[in-house]
Amino acid sequence: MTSLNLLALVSIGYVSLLFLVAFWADRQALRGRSARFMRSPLIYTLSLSIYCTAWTFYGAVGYAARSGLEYVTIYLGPTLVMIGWWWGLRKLVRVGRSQRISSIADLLSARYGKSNVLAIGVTLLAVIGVTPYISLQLQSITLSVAIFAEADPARSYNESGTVFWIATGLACFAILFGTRNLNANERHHGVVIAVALEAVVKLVALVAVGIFVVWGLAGGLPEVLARIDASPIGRWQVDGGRWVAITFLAAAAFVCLPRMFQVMVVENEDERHLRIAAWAFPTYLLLISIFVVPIAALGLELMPAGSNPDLFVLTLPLLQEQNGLAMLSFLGGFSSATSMVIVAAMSLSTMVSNHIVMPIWLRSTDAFGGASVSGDVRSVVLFARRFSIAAVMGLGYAYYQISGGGAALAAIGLISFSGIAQILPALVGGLFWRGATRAGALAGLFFGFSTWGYTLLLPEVAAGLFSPQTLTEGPFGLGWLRPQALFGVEGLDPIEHCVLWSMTLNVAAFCIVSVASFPSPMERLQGAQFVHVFDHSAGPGGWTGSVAQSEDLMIMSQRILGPEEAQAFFQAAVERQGGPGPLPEPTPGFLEQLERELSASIGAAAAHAMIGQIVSGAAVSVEDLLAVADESAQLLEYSSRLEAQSVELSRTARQLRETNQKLTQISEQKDAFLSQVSHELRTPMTSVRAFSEILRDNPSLADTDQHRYASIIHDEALRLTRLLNDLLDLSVLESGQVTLNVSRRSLSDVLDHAVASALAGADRALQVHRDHSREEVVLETDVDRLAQVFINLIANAQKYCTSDTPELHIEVTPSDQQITIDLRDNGAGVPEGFRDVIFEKFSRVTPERAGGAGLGLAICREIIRRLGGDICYLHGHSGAAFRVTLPIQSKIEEIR
Amino acid sequence: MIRSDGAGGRDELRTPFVERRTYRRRRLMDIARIAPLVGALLFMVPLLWPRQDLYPAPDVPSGTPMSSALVYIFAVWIGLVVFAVGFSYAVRRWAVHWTGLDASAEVAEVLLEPLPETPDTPPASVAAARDEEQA
Repeated sequence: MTSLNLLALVSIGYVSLLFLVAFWADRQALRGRSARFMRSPLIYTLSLSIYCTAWTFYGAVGYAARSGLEYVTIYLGPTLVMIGWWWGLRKLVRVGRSQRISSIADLLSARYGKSNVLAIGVTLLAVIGVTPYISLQLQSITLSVAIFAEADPARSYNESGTVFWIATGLACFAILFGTRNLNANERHHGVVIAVALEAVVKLVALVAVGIFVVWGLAGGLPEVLARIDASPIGRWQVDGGRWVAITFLAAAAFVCLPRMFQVMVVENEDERHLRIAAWAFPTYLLLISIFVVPIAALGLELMPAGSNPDLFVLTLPLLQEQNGLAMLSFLGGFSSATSMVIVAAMSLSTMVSNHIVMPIWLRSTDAFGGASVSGDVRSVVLFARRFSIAAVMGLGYAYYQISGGGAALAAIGLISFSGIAQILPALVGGLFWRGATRAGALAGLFFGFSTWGYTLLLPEVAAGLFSPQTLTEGPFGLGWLRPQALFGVEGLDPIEHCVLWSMTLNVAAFCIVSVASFPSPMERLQGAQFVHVFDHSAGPGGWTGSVAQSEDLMIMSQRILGPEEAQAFFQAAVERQGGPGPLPEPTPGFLEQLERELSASIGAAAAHAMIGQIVSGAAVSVEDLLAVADESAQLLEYSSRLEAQSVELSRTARQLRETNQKLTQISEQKDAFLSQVSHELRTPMTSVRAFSEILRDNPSLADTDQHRYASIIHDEALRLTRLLNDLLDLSVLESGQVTLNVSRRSLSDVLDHAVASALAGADRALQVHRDHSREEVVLETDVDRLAQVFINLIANAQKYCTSDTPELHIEVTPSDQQITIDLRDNGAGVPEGFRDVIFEKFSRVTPERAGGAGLGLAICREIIRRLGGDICYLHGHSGAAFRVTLPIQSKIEEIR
Repeated sequence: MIRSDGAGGRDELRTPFVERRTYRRRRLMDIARIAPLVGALLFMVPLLWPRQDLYPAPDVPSGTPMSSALVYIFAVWIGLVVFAVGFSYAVRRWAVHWTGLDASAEVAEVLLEPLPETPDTPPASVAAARDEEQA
């Protein structure tokens, strides 16, 4: 007989092996060097086998011994789900990967507009549903140990102590490998590899016992079939309702159980692994269940009456003194229990910490005004996960202690399944129906879950809560509310009854409320993303192969940071890591640094989305897009402010340029003016100097000559004076410092005075034609200045008119506001090319005949402008013609 | 209900007439949808079998023997597994867009078009930079 000590030794050795394997796998994954087989479909398929818990390993035989072939429905459901992988699981896995889903609660929350209420609901449901299941595993280990203890002569076995230490050990394992680090993908290579190893152990163990039973005990296949038919379970007798209901429940639980979701979706390396798993996993289930009936039948036949059929797998080899086989069988059961507990605790802790602990913690720190630093949050998340694992395990242990571990294993399993299956309508609806809304999902979950609790959980598990009277006559005597005969449907099996009502109410509430409610924009976006995931997400491939990732990261960084900076950054990372390759391994630390580096250039959200896209192959989620849009909006605002500033700057620059141009022009004009002035001054000065030198050097000059020379000097001096007067006048006019003496006088008088002054002392007669009747206009203006203008114009006509009999016509045309005075002579006029420049300073049409300096018309124009009028040359006349336009009421104030 | 099942190419035509290969693939996907239903129906067939009498005559076993049920259920099961193996290979043959390794390259094309101004590949340039440093 195997002693308890040997058993303990083997168990500890086995657990150490698991620790080593998990540690090794984690280490390899951390270095980014995970072996090829670690990412293979085989490992994926084996990890799926945590579906087969101790309930399968021990319970299936007990189930078969009690109810015949019905046990097989537990495996038919998942088989059917796997067969339909192409349109079911594949979509689920694709959604999970592209949305970076961390748990089933996260999936539903993401689908229904990131609703945390929904996530909390699913989490609570999962905890309530899975806790009995965990305690079931603890119970199975205890029972199996007890079998050995009974057989051990030197027994020193303490049941509750064993359970406590097993629970603690499993919690340690889950904490050590499930929360070692926070991975963006939520993948745990160590745990997965350990689970795969355990899957092999339990399959080998059960098949070994099966082969021993069929060929060792029964003596061959035909014999075993005959002995089955002769046994108490030798007839086909299943309840059709239960058969269908349990198949459905198993299928639903296969998808909805948190631990199944963890290994199937979250830990999935590559969507294409499903292609292999689609036939490999049904094969695994088939092998697991094919020997169950023979073992049950032989057990019923050979074991003493009253022995627990749940433990036939263990007791049959022991009965036959096959200690080695019994030990293997024990390890198989141990594996089934431990792998389930570890993964279940891990997945539940993810849900509890993500959806319950973290929101509370973040809210509380917000209340204290603490800023959430990323490193800070990481450690808090890790602590929350560890705490949650311990709590879940504690709950399982507590449940085991309270329930006393009496009920048949399979019953608890089915109750748990039907609770978890309540998630199915919201899940399937979320994946295939865009109209599914958050309110609908909540309503469905609420009705389904409460019906399950009322009709199955409370009557079966906490029977003390209901008095026998309530069960038989309904609460408060309401017969239609009897927990196990709702609405008068009697005679159904409790499971069947519960599935019927909970699923009906669940689906009905889900559909009706979904149709009646209106989804938020986020829900609608996410709904489209989920339902049409194959249109929205990238291909199925996982970004396996770390070198490819590093290269892609390098290319992306080069585009964002610039080639030199990116290469320097990667080079530094290589040196830090001390790796052999030219590129660094994409470790979490490196990725975090790179993300920070990139976020400086393109914003945190965009950087996170881009790195996530490359490393995990996940599509960019709506949340990411919103965050990126926020950042871009800020950038846009900033850049539009910059743009406005730059427009203003360029406007100012243009103004400055224009001003500068004007100043340069003015400066040039000034230079030109100065040179002309000096030229004009030099001409008379030259003759003055020359004639004064003659007078000084030739005292013997004749008197007539002396007189002539002196008068030339005098004339030139006069000319100089006149020129200087004109210049002074012009500068005063131009600078605007002129004071106008406004008075009222008739135009006729002004013209009379001008004609008289201009023609006084003229050497040749100029005939002036005037129409005095039209000149009787009273002007209010500076009369002297106006007269000066007319004198100048008349003198010009007198001076330059080329006609033999020079004539000047002065025509006055008064109107309401202004008066026009045209002065035309009958000469040749101003040549075409000079007409534009005659009003400029020092412009002379015929320099050889010049009497003046060419300032007359310039002065005229300045005066007339000062008086509020204008002067211009009239085209289209044979002689020179000038038009003076004047306002009748001089607006002196404005002029000044 | 299923607008695209992700098995086709990115810009595959949605016309009534497609090439033979695409047509085959789509019919394959139809089979994939029907298979679980057929499997479920086959698993339910034993429910119609005669059961044990409520008042069985002594020494005359009534109803279907357990062994036949066992053989039937596992035969159907094995049949489904064989179908799944076949389907798996059919997917590999027909749904190349889904199984092909170039799917990830497609993603890379979208996100990371190669830099036009740096013709050399990044690893080479890093190696070059490193060589220079060592020199």
